[in-house]
Amino acid sequence: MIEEIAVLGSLGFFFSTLLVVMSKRFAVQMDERVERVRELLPGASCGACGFGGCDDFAEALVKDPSLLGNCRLMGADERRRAGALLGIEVKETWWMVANVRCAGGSKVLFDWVGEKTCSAASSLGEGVLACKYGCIGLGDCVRACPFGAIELRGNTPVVDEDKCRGCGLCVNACPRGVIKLIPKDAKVIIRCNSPEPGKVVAAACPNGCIACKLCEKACQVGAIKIENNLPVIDQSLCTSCGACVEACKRKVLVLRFPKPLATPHAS
Amino acid sequence: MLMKRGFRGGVHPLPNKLTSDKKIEKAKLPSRVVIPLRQHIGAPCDPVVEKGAKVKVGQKIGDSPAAVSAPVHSTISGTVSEISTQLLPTGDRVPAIVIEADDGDEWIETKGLDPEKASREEMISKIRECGLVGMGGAGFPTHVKLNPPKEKRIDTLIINGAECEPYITADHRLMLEEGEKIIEGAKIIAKILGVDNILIGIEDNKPDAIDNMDRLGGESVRVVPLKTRYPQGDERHLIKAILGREVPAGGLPFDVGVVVQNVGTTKAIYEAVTQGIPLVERVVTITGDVKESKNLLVRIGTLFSSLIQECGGPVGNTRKVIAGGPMMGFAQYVDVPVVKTTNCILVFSEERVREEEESPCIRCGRCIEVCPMGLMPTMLVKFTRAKKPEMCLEYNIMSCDECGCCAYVCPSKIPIVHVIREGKKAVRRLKK
Repeated sequence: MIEEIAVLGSLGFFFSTLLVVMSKRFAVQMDERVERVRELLPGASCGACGFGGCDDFAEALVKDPSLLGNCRLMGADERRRAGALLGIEVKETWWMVANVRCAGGSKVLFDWVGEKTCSAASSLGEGVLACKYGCIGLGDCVRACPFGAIELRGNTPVVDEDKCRGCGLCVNACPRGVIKLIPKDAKVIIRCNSPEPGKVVAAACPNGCIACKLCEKACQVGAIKIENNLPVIDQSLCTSCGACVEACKRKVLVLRFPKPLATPHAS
Repeated sequence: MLMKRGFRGGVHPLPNKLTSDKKIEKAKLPSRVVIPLRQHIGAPCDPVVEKGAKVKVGQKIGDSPAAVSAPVHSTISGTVSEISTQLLPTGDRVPAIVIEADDGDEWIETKGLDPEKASREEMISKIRECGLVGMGGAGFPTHVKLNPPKEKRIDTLIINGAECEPYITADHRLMLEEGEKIIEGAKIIAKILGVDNILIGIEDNKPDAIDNMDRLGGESVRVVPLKTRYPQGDERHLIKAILGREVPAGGLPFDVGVVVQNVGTTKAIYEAVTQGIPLVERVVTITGDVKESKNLLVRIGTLFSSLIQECGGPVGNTRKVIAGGPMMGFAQYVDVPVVKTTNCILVFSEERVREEEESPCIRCGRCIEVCPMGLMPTMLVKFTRAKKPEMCLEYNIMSCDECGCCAYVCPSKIPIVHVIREGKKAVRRLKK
């Protein structure tokens, strides 16, 4: 009995000493900041930062903290803490959100039977819609969003701006380029994507922009210019007075902030 | 008796060849034709006539300096009323010349060559001038096909009379009624290519055509009966079935010393070379849910609607109008013109069209069994939907011919060909 205890005990002591020595001697040197930064990253591995995923990005961040802005998904608090950890100062700015530049309503040319994706439905000829640029509404963007921020209402995708982190995966998924990222504080947005002249748009869709320039004339501060048959808004000049929105007969322009702006997120 | 040959995979859909004993009739002359300036693979033509110009039948109205292209000709005599963008049966929008007919049917003067005396170059340029393209479906310019690169030695000419798609009988009727012209045309092609071995592949569901061509062909042109199996008419499978040679992935029949021509094209080559007649009309099978199915000799540019009316109009509520066969044809949503490659117009009523909801893949492997290219459609669908184009490439997605056998047999009704097309698009983006 005593013998066994002695043998096993001494063996245990020998190996544990060995392990302790080995673990000290052959320890892998790792920057502990990598792990702590990684914990602050969102963990969606969306790839929008340009790296393979959050693990890769954390390693890159420790080497070059100026990349912090590349992650578009971090919450304001996490971003500030990560900045403190990496020793850089985090500026206050707005981030981007996805904006669907189509209100729907284009005439449908034919029934699409088969693979129910926007990409497939836009492959035959110029697609199922009379408007070559409009939203097809089969939800390629919905499937691309890692945050569940887009849902289809009827045939139009609607972005939940609280969930949207502006990663841009939906922008790439849309075969027609209907979705664009806009600054989260954009005051007036455009709900049409067709650069065709008014006559063509009017024939295809009741909701499309016909480039009538009423908005351009209505704007008191000269923030709107029609380019390529679509209004382009200089958000820095816009006072969100709503004159253009009122002037637009086809409801292409929408005022996003009838109520006072919320406080900006940190970036 | 010759041995019947086949290829790997394939399916055997109901033949439904309703018009195989209906003689080819001349269709009524259309009062208006829409002639697209691109009806072939390659560069579109530029118009060589202006709005308001008077044109005769066979007059060249569009041409292009590009190497891979074929001119287009007026198919009626009349006045050019507009040059505008029109829809092709394939869904593309291309510029087209619209001609309103006058009372007559005045042809331009045509002059043929004597195939015995004419040189190879003369015949090829005649074929180009007459605007010939492959009439089986793809529309590859014939003069390019007959002028293979110097380093490729061609030893065999195969005339494709397989016509494996259900419903279509245009080539079948041509072989019965214009067999002599096809044989003579084949001899002209053989002379151009400098080959002695001329074979005609015909599926064994057309015994009358096999007998007829066998009788007419004599010693010089041999008929090879083929097993009736879709897609026997795909040139790769035709070569495999007849000669046992396999066209390499991404390659062309040139690479194994073969040129394949469709019977319709062969007949057109005969007419172009010996009489100088441009490609202004072709045989189109109009069938499905119409009052009376017909094989019509149609002027190119005739609108589908007028041909359907000529067959007594649709029966029941039309759900689909398809240009081409039911397996690889294109469903139409507006009135489009017959082009050089339109071999069939199918009208399907609501009762005939089954549209079923897709259900999950049960991994039964039937698509793999039938794929004539030896691909694994089930994996291609999986990888495409998972957005993994690099894996699609590894599974040789680009070798897919989109014949549709996989989608035809799929018990879960997965639109496999649609998905594979998407996968190919993603692969092409990847390569950029």
